[in-house]
Amino acid sequence: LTASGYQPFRPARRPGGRPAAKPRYRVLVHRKFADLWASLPERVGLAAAQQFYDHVARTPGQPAAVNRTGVLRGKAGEPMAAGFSRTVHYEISGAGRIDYQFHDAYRGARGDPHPVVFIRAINLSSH
Amino acid sequence: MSAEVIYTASDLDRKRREVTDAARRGIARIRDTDGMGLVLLPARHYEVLDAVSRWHDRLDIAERARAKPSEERVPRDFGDLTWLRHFDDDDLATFIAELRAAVSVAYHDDDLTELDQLVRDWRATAEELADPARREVLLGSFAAEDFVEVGRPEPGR
Repeated sequence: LTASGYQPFRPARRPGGRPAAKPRYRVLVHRKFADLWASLPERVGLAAAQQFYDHVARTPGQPAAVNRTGVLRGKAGEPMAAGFSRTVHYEISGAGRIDYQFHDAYRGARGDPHPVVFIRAINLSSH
Repeated sequence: MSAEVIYTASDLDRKRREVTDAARRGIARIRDTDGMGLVLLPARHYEVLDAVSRWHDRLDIAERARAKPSEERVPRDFGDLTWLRHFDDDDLATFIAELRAAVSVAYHDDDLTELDQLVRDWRATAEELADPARREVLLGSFAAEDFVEVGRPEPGR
């Protein structure tokens, strides 16, 4: 019998190593709502705030796994510029709403195309 | 095409299964003892008919409100949709056109899912525009320098 690395009853390793945990999208918030962003953990809970961040940092264009998402209609929902998504409306909690747009290849001051999420408005007063 | 059956009130007892099967297929017509005509139909279909008729009425009210000069409009001009007051003329026109299309789809598909989602989205939009700060940003032009980068919320941050 020859020595071999092959072990038929052991699952093969995932090719390419561990999945990247690094967020894919840069997340930016409008200055007018920077204070509300800072108060998110206190207002809606740390878990909900992190869930939102993880959602927009990785899959801003998909329906949220936990919370309800929709799109704003009319002019408020139109893309801010070419390449941007429509405005997504994310219900972070019973009392919190966040509106954002994303761009998969935004060329800002950095020059190189990179994925970005722009949080346009935060509403912690609903209902 | 088969002749339409009209059941009697006593058929609700004697032919209960036949009457309910007819209703499940679309509609069962019943004549009460005093001659009054009644119908039995699936609740889901009734809900679509009810919503479609209510939305026809609401959209007519919204059309009339939009026809008034904006400075003369008051919230009650919009009937029970007072949140429409947060939209300008362009958005009101878009709302009415999109809702008319969705009402038609709901009626013909016998399904309110799309209409309900559209109304939820428009209502959420109105709530966002109700606040002057949010309104200014959501309807304003884009300036990258107005945004600052943020990290994942952490305890104590």
